[in-house]
Amino acid sequence: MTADSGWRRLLRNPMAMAGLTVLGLILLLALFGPFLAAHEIDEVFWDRIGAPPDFAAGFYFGTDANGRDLFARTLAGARVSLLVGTAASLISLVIGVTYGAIAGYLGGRIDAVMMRIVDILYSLPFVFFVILLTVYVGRSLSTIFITIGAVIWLDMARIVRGQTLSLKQREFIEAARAFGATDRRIILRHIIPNLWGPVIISMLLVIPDAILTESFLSFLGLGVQEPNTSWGVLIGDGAQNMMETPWMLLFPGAFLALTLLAFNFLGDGLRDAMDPKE
Amino acid sequence: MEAEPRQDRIVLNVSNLTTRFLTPRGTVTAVDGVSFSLAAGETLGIVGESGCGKSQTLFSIMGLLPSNARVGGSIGFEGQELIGLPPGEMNRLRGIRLALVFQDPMTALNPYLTVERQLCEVLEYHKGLSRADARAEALEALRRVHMPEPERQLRRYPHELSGGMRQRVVIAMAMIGKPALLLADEPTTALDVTIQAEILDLLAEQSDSGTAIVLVTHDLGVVARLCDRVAVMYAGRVVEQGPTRAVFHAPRHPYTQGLLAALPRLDDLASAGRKPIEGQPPDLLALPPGCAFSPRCPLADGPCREMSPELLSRDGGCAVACHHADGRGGVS
Ligand SMILES: Nc1ncnc2c1ncn2[C@@H]1O[C@H](COP(=O)(O)OP(=O)(O)O)[C@@H](O)[C@H]1O
Ligand code: SF4
Ligand SMILES: [Mg+2]
Repeated sequence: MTADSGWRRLLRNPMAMAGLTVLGLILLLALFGPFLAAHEIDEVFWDRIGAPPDFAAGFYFGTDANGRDLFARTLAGARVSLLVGTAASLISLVIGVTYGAIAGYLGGRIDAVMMRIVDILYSLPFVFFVILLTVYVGRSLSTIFITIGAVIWLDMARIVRGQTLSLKQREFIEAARAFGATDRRIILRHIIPNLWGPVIISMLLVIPDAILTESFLSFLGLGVQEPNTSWGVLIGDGAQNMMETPWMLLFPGAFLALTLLAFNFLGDGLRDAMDPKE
Repeated sequence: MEAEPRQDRIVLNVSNLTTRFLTPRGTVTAVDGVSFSLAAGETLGIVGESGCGKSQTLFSIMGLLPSNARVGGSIGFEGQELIGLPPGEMNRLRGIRLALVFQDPMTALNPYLTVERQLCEVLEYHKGLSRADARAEALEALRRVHMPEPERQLRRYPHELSGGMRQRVVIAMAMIGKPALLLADEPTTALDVTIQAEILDLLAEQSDSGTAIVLVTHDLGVVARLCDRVAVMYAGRVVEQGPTRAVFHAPRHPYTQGLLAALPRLDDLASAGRKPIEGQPPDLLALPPGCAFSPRCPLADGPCREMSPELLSRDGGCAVACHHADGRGGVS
């Protein structure tokens, strides 16, 4: 496998490219939301409570039960979701990759202890954990970040550890040591750079997972606080008025579903591109 | 004990080196009391069937053993004892004062780094060279191993190079720090026959420039060509050792005789009947009593099966571990 042919295979995969395009568009919408939307996210229009889409007035997605512009609020939700996704991938990258690489490389007792810690964190009752935190720390976006961050890197750590264990057997690692490389150097220069394939693929699984978790917590009312919003909050509100104002559920729901699908297509495409055997 | 190289230029002095592995089935003594010394510019060949401890001897010198290994004896390198040296100090020697060339250049190079990165890595481990200086040295190192179009090779990845070119890169990496001692573990086994000769020439050049070389091989022809002295190993022990000419002209240990007899020779057309030594090397966990070679030895008798022969000096600068090395020695 070479990096070049892998990229070429990825570029020829229509599903993966569609996923990439959708994600690009959502990113643009999230970044330029404030300029695209005709109204502020917290501006209340008393004459338009739960009104359907009205292009002429700039309410492209209609308004919510409080008379606020749903288009602006959906794009604000996109910002939160992408922020959560970015934070999750950074945490997975920094903590997950380092932790997994160290455990796998050092092996033996240190590895055993490090992986038992991962097992314990894994088995914590997650929602209970979140509820406790919201009670003691308060309901906020940072609570969400902390709780998602506490567990999101575990998968990455496991994957990276497994990969490192098998990389460690490769002779070029032994050769690097024979040329005087220190453990630190070997991990940074020879192990981690050789992990990029599986790391990128699992990042593409981790990000939608984090986005979905945030939406779920917000849907339960444990997440983002008013007047800020997220897709989970919007979907929660929309679900309550599903019959009378279906657009309140439809638009944020469609954005969430599209985003998750796009990540999945891209992840599948990357995996195929890197493993030509399939 | 053996032909002593000139004392003033001794680079490596291995004495009674013993490497054991603790395994669930028992203790494996992979290297058992090996001793030799080596002067600058000298080449020692280590030969023997596979599993007899050649590689582990090299890895012991490099301090690259797994955690279940226990090393005894002494390894004096440039006047410094390597056994028990802290890992940090060992790292400072590896790659710069002593270097190892691996058997298979396909797997010894990092597939994700360009040739330039791999070569510069070695320099960066040891000297804080600037990028440009490191690049210049990398280029110089490729020239020294006669790499065709060295500037172009710097930018390439290992999979873009042929086997012979990769082994040149590996040797360039080993030589980039101008080590006093080069260890090579079957450096040509994985290569085409035509390329093998070129790589051996390259090692000979390094030796001419004063590097001491330990060359592990199972090719006796290579030893005859390249090595000043040879050590024949069997079941972890040196069974015969001495100047290559002396050992090859008049081998005294039945195992050495067997290895040489199995060698095809151009000058001997009746060689159709030449055959390898019968049987297999013993399981290191179940060594026979007495001489480890006795189950396969045509000369084995009572004492051979009871008492392990010691490696004793004989005339001609050779040392042999065999009860019958002097008496009925010259079987042919
Ligand atoms: N980590 C280990 N644990 C147990 N035994 C080992 C280990 N490494 C090597 N050995 C044993 O040491 C012996 C010598 O191996 P080696 O030096 O690689 O032989 P060779 O002469 O073919 O290079 C072999 O019999 C091998 O089984
Ligand atoms: S000691 Fe005996 S068995 Fe061993 S090599 Fe010599 S003759 Fe053969
Ligand atoms: Mg070997």
